[in-house]
Amino acid sequence: MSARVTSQASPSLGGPGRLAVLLRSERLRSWSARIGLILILIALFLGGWEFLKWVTDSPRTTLPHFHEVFDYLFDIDSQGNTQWLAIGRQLEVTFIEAVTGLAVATVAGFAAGTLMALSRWTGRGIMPFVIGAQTVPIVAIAPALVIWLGTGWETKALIAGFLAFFPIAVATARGIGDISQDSLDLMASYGASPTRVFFKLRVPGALPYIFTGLEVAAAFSVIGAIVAELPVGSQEGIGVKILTSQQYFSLEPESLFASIGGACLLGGAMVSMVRIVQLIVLRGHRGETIS
Amino acid sequence: MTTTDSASETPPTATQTAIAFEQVRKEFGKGRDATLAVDDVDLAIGEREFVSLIGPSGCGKSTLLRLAADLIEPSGGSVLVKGKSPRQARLDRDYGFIFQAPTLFDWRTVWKNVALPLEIMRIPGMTKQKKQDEIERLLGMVGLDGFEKHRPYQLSGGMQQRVSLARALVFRPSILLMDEPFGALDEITRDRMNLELLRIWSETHTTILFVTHSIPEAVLLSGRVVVMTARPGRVQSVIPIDLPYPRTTEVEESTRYYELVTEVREALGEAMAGDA
Repeated sequence: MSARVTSQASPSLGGPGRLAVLLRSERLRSWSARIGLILILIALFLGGWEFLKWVTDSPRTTLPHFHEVFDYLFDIDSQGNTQWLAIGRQLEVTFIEAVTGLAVATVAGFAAGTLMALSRWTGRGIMPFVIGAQTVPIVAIAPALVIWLGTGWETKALIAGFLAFFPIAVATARGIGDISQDSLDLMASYGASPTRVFFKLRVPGALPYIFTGLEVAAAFSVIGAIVAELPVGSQEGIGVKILTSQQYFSLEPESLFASIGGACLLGGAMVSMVRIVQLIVLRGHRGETIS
Repeated sequence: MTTTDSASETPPTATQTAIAFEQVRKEFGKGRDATLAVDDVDLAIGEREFVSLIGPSGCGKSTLLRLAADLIEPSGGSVLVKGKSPRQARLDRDYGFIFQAPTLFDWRTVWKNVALPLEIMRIPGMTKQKKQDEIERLLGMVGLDGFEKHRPYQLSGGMQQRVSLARALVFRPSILLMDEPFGALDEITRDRMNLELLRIWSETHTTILFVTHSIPEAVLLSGRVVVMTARPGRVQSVIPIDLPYPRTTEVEESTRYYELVTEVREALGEAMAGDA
């Protein structure tokens, strides 16, 4: 009856069938292709960097060689630590701010998105605030927030969460609302309560959307945390490090580039973290497994 | 409305009415934009009967099905399901609804899709062991042994629709409402699904109200075929199908089968002519 499927994989799901072996090799190929691509991109980036330096004939105090930035990481700072460790410590501070902000934004964004999708009137009431959250120039109000709430990491986490909130709220609203009428009718035919419909249908159906929003939010949360560290008064964080590096740029230009590189890595790490959680949570969702 | 008088020759085997439409009217929209989808429909479906609704698209076949399922409400007249309001019947889980699309949840395995109604309903006396046995039995019945752990998108269209059938049967509803369930399948798969549906119908003693576009399908499956007109949907004629059960491929080759197919086709032609 099902020759198409049975000829490929044994339905017993026991040992690795031929299909499984094939999948594994395909996965392997896609991984090696991905790593190859990354190496090519790194080569292009480094080539571009040095080419730019050569073409513009920039001195070290404008644009150092890449290897100079790299060497800088192993210099010893005034406290006797290597620079990469010093940068790492600042990144850790920023990371905690961003993660906390992202967590708060996830809860708040999910709640707001759900209300926007399910409740017409509450949703309409919330909408202006959600839009407002996005149009407020965060750089402009950050100093005010620091004055009101202090220079502690919580203030920065709040600002990070503020930026991360919007993509999560919109993605949730889209996912929760975008359920096929047939699926809703099916649940109705079982006499399912709204709570059941929500947890058995709407939430699992919305998860792929929500994770797309979370990926964007993860990157935003790092930006938010760094921006929040820039106002005077902050003592810690990669934002502070970038600011001081800028002040001492003519003496030690490598410091700025190393800090910026660190900030980029942090953003990448946050997004990757969300992707890993996504792979675990959405295991089995269409498109999440190679099938 | 013209009902063929031969209805008296083959009275429904059932003694009780499962679904009754009386003077049913359904309008969509309001005011000037309102369209009359279904008007003046009187139809009674007996228990354990297999009745097909056939007609041009837009004739309100699906509307009737959705009225019986309480997915929409009538604008006039009354619908009774097992002597109750459709709402009560829905809350009592008297019917299983099967859509044209299999409507499976991608994030659930085949097994978990079939288990879904049992997770939502609290059926007295349904122990975990009983649940497992029942799901296993049904997956066997629809020929999906060994696919428990597959995801819906790993299956062919025909197999997906079987999962949907097993899911509708798992809580043992006494009525199946089927909205062009095999419409999207290729003819070979469709033929096989038809015969399997007949087997399941005879095994489970359910009442089936079946919406279809296909004349041969309606004749092969049904005890009665209800031909409808379009805009507004009305019952044009009710044609009893006096072919013996169990129906097999041999029935499909009999002369009587062809006569009945022709009869339905002509009735459908009249219904379409009335529309134009």
